[in-house]
Amino acid sequence: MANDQQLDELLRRAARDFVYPATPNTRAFLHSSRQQQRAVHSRRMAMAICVVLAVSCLFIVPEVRATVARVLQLGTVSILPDATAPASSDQTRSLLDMAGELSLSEAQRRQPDLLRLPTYPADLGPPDRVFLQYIHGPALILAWLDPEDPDAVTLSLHILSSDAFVQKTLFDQERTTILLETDVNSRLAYWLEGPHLLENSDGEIRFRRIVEGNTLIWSDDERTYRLESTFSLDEARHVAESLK
Amino acid sequence: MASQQQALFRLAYLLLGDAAEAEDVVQETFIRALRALGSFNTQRPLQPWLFGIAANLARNRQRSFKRYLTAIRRSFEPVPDTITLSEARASASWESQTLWQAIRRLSRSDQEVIYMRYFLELGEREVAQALDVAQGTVKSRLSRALARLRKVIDGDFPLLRAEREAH
Repeated sequence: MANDQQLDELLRRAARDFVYPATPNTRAFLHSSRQQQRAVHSRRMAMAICVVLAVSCLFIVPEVRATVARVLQLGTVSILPDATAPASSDQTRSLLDMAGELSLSEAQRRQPDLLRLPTYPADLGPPDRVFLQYIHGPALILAWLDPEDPDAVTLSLHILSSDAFVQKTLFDQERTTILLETDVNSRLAYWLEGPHLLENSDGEIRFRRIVEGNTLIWSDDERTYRLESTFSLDEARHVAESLK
Repeated sequence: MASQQQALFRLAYLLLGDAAEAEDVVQETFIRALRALGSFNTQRPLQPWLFGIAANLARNRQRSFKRYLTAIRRSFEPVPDTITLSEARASASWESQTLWQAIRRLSRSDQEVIYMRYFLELGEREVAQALDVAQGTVKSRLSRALARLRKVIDGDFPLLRAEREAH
């Protein structure tokens, strides 16, 4: 795109030529909604009272109270307990199957504000695979592979913009997963140790991925990060705090 | 208020990319506006206020779980092969549709300011009222959004760039 004026002209022309679907007629809806408004308000108030009462009753049960308290949110990532066992292999996808692969230099060019690279360990080097996805905003996924097994990811860093999609981490608290509260750069972070599920799926359970290693989740003002590795918590925090 | 429905529907459609969801947003906008009408300052223009409500509703809807899941599924599907320039030129609305796809790669706030300024042709003051920010903020936000859009076009939409430069 050569200059500002060209882009301005392009936008004006595109706006003029844009074909919208026919605008639905909401007049009838509006007319009836005025009359229904009071009734709807009353119904909603009654429902809200019922919900509050029901939730209050549930919280009397200690197990429910403990479970609900364990649903955590950090940036754009949710962490919640899940009693289901990890999905079978036919339901899982490798991180390396993702679309949107590009070179590191291309990622640097396209997303200079989003991209961060760890400077620890000193011998880590650049990521072997880089993926850029646009869902509700850009998300970068960097993967470092095992030199002896190019299909095995030894370290991956997910950088989600504040507008990017929510990832959901499911862990089985009755099994081996450990969930700890920690910090990165003096800000709240969560540490998941042991196998858990990263859900990129719908009701068909198509894209659940078993994370075999440990995961550190933290955020700053603009991004949320997930670091998957076999590192210990201290090492992972060191990697997280080394991002440049 | 009903006279605003076309503009509201268009804004919601641009933000969500789905006519049915846009219709829902328009209806919900009217419901919320009717509820809040008693406290509305009549000295203020109505349209930017409605746009502000619609933009917020569209933002919340886009973050809803269902849309998230659909988007995730799409993210694992291979990107369709690009069409040739001659095929592209055969479509009258190709340029506007492709530019829309490029804009949709931007963040939510970048999209909002571009749609309001260019597609709905609101003035800076009206955009500021709709987004509840200072007028100067609209100017700087639009400038940054356009810079990012230029990068997206240069990087990911070579046909659009070529078409533009051919003009």
